[in-house]
Amino acid sequence: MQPYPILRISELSYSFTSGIGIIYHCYFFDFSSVFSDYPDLASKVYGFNLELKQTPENIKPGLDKRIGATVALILKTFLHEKENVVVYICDTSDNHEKARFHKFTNWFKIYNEGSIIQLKGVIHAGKTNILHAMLIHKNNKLINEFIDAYEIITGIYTKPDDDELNNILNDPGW
Amino acid sequence: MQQAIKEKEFRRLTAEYFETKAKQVKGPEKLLVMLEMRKYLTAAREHGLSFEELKKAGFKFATVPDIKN
Repeated sequence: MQPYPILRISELSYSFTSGIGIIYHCYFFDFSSVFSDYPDLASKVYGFNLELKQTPENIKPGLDKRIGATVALILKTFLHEKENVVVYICDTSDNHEKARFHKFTNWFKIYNEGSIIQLKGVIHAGKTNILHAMLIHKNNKLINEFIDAYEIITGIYTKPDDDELNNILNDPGW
Repeated sequence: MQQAIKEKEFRRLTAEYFETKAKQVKGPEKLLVMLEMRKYLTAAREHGLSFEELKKAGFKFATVPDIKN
């Protein structure tokens, strides 16, 4: 699937236009606050925003696989340096957001040749369900640290405190 | 007129507002704050705020590489 031509419209953002004339903008924003307990990782974490900038009159966005190919190319390029990671989040309060999340994560099944690892899930924060995905290059030197931190932040895993860890490591079993 | 009302309703926020909120919560709740920030950035750009204006408000963005396709 051929991606649409991607324009770097500023040092901070890209733009592309779909076949039916819909203009999309996308950029990566600082996501370090979530990783504030991990100073070595925090500055390398970015959120991703894909925004529908302009839609021609009387046109409804439909299924367009080239959009997926285009977004996947943008993300793979961004992650290619093997330093940064990208987190994509949305809530489930609106069915379109939910659909967007599943489209987004599905694009990576289709257009990922294996270089990008995707961790995804849903968390309950307050009264909100948040769908989340972290994307990381498989050769990122800090991959284990990022995955550990992300699992703790999203509540998949609870890190034992030092005493507990010490007891676990000194347990005679296995 | 409609546009003027819309502009008036939009409340400008700073990155510090979200950073402070994120510091006050733990784990998954931090993602909730970032979700709010993501929505704010989208709304801010819909209301015509430029990246320069957002940067002045403390928001940070990644410099993106060129893509030749």
